[in-house]
Amino acid sequence: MLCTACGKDQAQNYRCRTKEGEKTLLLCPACYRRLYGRKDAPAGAQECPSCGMTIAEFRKTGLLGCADCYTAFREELLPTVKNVQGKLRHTGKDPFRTLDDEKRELEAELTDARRTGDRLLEQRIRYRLSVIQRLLNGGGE
Amino acid sequence: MNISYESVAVSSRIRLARNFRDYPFPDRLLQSPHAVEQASEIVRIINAELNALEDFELYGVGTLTEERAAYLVERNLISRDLVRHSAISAALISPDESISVMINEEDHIREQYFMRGYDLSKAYERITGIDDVISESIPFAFDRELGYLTACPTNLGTGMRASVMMFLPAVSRRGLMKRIAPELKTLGLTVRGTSGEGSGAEGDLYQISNQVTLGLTETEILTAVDEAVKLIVGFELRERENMKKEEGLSLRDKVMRAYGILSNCCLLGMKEFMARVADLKLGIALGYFTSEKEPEEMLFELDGHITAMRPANIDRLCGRSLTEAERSAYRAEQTGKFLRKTSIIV
Repeated sequence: MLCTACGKDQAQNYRCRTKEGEKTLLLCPACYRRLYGRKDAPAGAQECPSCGMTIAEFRKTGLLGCADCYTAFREELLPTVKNVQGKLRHTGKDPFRTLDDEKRELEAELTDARRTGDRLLEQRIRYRLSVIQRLLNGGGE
Repeated sequence: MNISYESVAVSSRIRLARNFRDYPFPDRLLQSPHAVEQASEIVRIINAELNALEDFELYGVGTLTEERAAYLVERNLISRDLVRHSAISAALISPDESISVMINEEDHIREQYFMRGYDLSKAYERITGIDDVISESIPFAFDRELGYLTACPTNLGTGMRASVMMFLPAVSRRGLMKRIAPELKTLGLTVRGTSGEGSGAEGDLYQISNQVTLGLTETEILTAVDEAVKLIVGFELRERENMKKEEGLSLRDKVMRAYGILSNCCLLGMKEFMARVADLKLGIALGYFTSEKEPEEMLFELDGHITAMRPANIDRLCGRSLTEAERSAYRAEQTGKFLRKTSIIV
């Protein structure tokens, strides 16, 4: 279902309390943030629409409430993630990417490493390829 | 892999953290009025997937006695955090205890593979296979940018912790750990003593693992840990030789005293037991003993004996909860028997 505000992006269900009681909004995360996210909310009081967690609670416990917290608090979280992890872009296992894709990418990297004569990098890529190959072989000893 | 190598890199473990897309993470789930029902559904789904693969035993943590839970914690099959969540948590453990899947610990799923000796790529291969099976029917919380989403941002991305248990008596006793730790940090790795904070490590055992989980592929993490392990193994083996040369008879004396005490004492507290066994293991690695068995096998058996002599494991062996004094007596008696059975020759 598309967002009922912008009509472009995929919508998510957001629970929202109104005078008439609780209702469900079908909005994309960007529109939700634009329309409801920070409106009149004091710093740290913004709630995750799915689980009700606030960023203040996260700062206290170090734990997020649910997967949607990463969308709701993205701007606030990214500096923390960068500080802890050093990077912000996942490059590992991806449910939408196959081992063959990874193997092909590594083989291309190996060709580059050979061309530039970087022996250490070549050795590292070979090790990674051996792990991938082992997985592709179905875990043979 | 030779004896020298495996006398340093004792065991390998890989853990993957995963969460369901549509349920609150466990700490939040606990606050829900429907926590038990939702948790049961999570357990049911994972149990069905894994038991189609192998005969996993399901432990509902809330139904375990305190003693049984402590026994599983001592065997590293479940964590203290899982016990803390006993209202909603469970564990699935493979018959050979190499695979343990903790459910509703800090994350919905913590899959771990443990093996004696050093082979991280095998460990990864096994656990990623389990992960693939579970992911077939479960929509994991995954974000294109941040990877697998976890309750704590320190596990984001791959959700993977690759760790190697290392026996480092020479490096540790010669005060060289402080040189290793900063080096590891620059590689995105960390080292900690197995007894946690404070001075030194119980039994000279240290765990090396990756700290960074995001922005690196799983194989890059394995490569980094592998390189560090190789360097540390080389360092430890050199220091063992230096120790042997410099300390000569006094080192041999220390090892033999440990052997004498472990073989003949009548009371043996856990702390002393760990220290003496570490001395004995060092002696075996330095070739002070001979046996019908390979030194590698002796070291593995000693590690197994250490686990069996932990408090909750002793209670389980004895079928009741013992006092500290009773456990000390039992540990002394069993250790003497164990050493006579291994037929170590001085």
